[in-house]
Amino acid sequence: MLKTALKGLLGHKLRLAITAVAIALGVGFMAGTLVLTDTLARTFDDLFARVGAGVDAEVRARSVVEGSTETGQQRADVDPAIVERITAVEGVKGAEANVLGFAVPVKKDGTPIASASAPQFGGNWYRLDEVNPYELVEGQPPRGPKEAVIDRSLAKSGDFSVGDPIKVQTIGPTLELEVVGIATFGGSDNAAGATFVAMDTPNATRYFSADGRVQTISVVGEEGVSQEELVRRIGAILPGDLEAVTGAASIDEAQQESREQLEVFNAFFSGFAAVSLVVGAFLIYNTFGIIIGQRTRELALLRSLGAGRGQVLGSVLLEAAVIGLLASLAGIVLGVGLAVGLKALLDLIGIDLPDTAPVIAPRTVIVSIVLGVVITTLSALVPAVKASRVPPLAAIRDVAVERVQGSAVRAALGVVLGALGIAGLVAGAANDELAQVLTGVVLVFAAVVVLGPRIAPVVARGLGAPLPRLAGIPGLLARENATRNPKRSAGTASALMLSVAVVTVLSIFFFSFLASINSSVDQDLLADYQIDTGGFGFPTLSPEIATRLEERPEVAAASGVRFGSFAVEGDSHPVYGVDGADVDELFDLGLEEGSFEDLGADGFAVDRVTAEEQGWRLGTELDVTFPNGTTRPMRIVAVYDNAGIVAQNSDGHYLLDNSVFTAEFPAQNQFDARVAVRSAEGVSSDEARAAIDEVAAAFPSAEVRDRDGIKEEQNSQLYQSLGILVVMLALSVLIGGLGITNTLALSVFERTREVGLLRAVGASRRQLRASIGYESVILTLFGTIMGMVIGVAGGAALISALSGTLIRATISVPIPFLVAVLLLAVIIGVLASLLPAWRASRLDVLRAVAAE
Amino acid sequence: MPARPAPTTGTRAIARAVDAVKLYGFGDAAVRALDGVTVDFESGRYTAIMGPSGSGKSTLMHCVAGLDSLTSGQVFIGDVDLATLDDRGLTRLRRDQVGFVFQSFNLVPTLDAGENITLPASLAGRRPEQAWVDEVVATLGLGDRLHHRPSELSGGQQQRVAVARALAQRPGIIFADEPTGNLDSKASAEILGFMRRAVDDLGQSVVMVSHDPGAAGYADRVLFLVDGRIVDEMRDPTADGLIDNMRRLGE
Repeated sequence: MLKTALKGLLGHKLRLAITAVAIALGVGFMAGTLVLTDTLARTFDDLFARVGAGVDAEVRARSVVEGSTETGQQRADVDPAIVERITAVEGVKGAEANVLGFAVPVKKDGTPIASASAPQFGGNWYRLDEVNPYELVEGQPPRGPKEAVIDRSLAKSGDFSVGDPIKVQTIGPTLELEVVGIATFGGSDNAAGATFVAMDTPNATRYFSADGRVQTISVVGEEGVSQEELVRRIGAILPGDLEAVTGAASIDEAQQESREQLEVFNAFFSGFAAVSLVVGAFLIYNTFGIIIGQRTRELALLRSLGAGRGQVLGSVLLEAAVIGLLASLAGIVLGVGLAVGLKALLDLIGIDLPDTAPVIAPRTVIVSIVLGVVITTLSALVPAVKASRVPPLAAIRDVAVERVQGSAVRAALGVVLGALGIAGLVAGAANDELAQVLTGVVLVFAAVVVLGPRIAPVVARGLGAPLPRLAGIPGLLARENATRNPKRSAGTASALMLSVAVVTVLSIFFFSFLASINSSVDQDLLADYQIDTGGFGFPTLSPEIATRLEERPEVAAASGVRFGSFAVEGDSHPVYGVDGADVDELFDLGLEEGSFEDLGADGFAVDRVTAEEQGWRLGTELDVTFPNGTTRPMRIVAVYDNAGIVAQNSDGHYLLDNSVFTAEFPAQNQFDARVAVRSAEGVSSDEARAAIDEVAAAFPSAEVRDRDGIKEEQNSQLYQSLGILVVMLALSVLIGGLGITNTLALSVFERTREVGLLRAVGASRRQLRASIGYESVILTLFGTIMGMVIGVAGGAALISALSGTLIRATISVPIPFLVAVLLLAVIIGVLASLLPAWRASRLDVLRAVAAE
Repeated sequence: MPARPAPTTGTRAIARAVDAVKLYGFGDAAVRALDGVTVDFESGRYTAIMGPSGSGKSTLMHCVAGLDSLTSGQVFIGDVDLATLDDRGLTRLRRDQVGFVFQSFNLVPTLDAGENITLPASLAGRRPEQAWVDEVVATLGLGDRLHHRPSELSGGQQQRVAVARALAQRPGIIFADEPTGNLDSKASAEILGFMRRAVDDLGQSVVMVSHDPGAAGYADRVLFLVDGRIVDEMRDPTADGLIDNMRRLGE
């Protein structure tokens, strides 16, 4: 039976090759994701291992507030005075403070060297070689308030040599330094894309750290003292708010954290891999269904020769498993290529990662193969069972034309699924339940797949209705052929339908998000201008900017926006910092009770929903814990409607005054992410703009935007994300197109005699090609339109469900985008038909007519 | 150089083959399916080609009808040498000047009987001659079957639709390849009778391949093909005479 299966495989190699490509692409996506994330994880693991190499113990503040993904770990800074006491501990060879602040180097022409993708560090040059991950390749270590060492990629991009002056923008004044040394990071020009400017420890502490404190202290032990022993001895002299951990544990933590961040990335790509695999599964199901239909006689012959049902079933499943295996292997190769390509892309955008060979973990290979084989085999299961039910008698009967029985079970199942799905969409949208909406989308999709054979002929007939008039006989034939095998048409279109549904949901999400933030800027932003960095998203604006702006007569109000995490009654939450005196004039937060002016040192504001959930009201006093370890009672001084405009549509449930950030948060939280500005009454926009530009000019990385500019900036960022998504999904649409090619090729093969007959009675090659082209377009449009209907419903429900989180939620159906997708579908339809149409038109008339 | 055979009657030839040779395969394995056939098919006549299996009778018909090409020799439909036509020319010829009736699978399953009958005209982008089509449909007794799909028709009805399609174009010549091969005797007689009437009443020319003496008995003239050569012919044959002749040729 194995032999029969393998022969069957070889007999249909071309058709199965197309199917295999679909699976290979899906598996390739998955394998590529795993290889890339493994490689990146290894790269970062190595990076942190290198940074931490030689550090036997790390001293840092105890963590009291859980950070969010945006803020990272929220630890208080450390008074560097402790370094001396640590150095005095027995067994300690040396201790070194770590300053890690923000510093933006400025090119000779005055433009900042801003990185859009990586942080920009200002730090201290370590005297202890054991803990210094950088190596000087030129010049000497920095000494005193005028000297700096920079990394080599910075030297290259800014054209700096040893001896050159360099301007560095810090949290305070812009420094005018001299480059005294150039360093590499473990052989790379920079550390994973981050820019690095180093001064000696006292000056780095003074200029790069907001509060004159340092972030951590690295300790090197004497020969023969274990890390654990060192930690124990240091721990004994530390005050209660500090802790010591071993170098190994610290590396481990950093690695763990970077892996968690890669998880997001992993999930993103895995999503695409999953869509591709499901699309591939539809293809396999369809291809096997058709091939088995065509092999009915052969299977019946096997049965009449004594092959058991199990043997037929086994042979088909084996065939599927072999295809799955081959396609998975191809997919793994494809995936490695994909990972290497993506990494090259990262290099191209300036993230110079140390060269790590692609990491192909055994897990990657196993997961890919198991996934490929299991999905292929499962997809072939239904056709295989059908094959095993072919009666031996069918060998001598004429091959029956596929009859679609109006199975009552199918119809009932479809209707139930559809009803549940729509209920889920409606309920989810009404109750802001994202999970319900997503379940609803999946159920509606399943319902359409189940009801597909019923829907397909109706829709295809409708789509093809004008064809006979427009295109004559080829049009008529196309319409009839598209409807003659409803199951096949529906199955073929399903693959495309899924891809298009996902594209549509995402596009609606994106365009609605866009519309929402634009209308939020229109309605909730009272400021005329905003200053931001357009950079990586780390807050790097000096608080000086807001202070200086407020001093200008042209400016009525200005406030920096900061963020961090704090804990209320022991629960950690993200929190935003604003200038309490000015916030009312800059943002319309829908104040309901109290006053933002009361924020001060002991108050905080909360949105109505959170207040209601927690049972708080204006004046409620709660214990609040800050990253520096302080816990003190604070009072709710204002309750507002929504701070989406401050938090940029993320979690804006709590507000503090910026003075509290200055007092209680580590240096990294003392920068402003943005500064909102409102010009004074009676000042022309030109005058106001000039005044703001003048202030900003002292801070090279600061970019001033007016209201249109704010929208443009936000929109262009979203358009970029949309672009990436569309490219990824175009791939899955392409797989759907492959499915159409496959089905058409099989159908043409099946219709060999019909094609011959048409040629014999006078159909030209062009007419045949046109007919198959129209048929393909009908199928493509069917899949696309159904996908869009599901997608629009799902997308609209999704946005409705997000109305609680998203301020000014606006459902925007991007008609031009959808029309473009529809046109793309027509093009894919035409392209998909080319090969089968060509084969049909080249068919030998006589052989076709004489074919038995 | 074979002389052009003189027409055996006064009627003009609608199609002819001159020294037609068709080889299948190469070298020692080559089979001479047609071995120098020269023949005229007269206009307004019903010609049958008989012969045992493998005699080349289907090959001759396919080559004359423009479905297959010769290895050497010439085939004319009217005055046109088929060798001078490209695929487009042959397509147009089949569409406009030739009608076909095959043994089975004559109809496009997705089109109804009426659409099948007017298919060649539709492919040419022409309106069918309605009066003529109505006459053909009436003659073949298909008036109440026009909106049926092939799967809803009996074998005999399907062949009648095929004959109607061949006639609807007023093609000049109709080629029929074992048109009754799959039919019972009653339906066979009907189809053969219709083709006879197409010649007598509608002025068509018919060339039919058959191995059935009963079917060939409807023809005006019967050509006997053995091993790719025309070995005999009969005019106004009777079924008994044909049976005798076949028996003689088979020996």
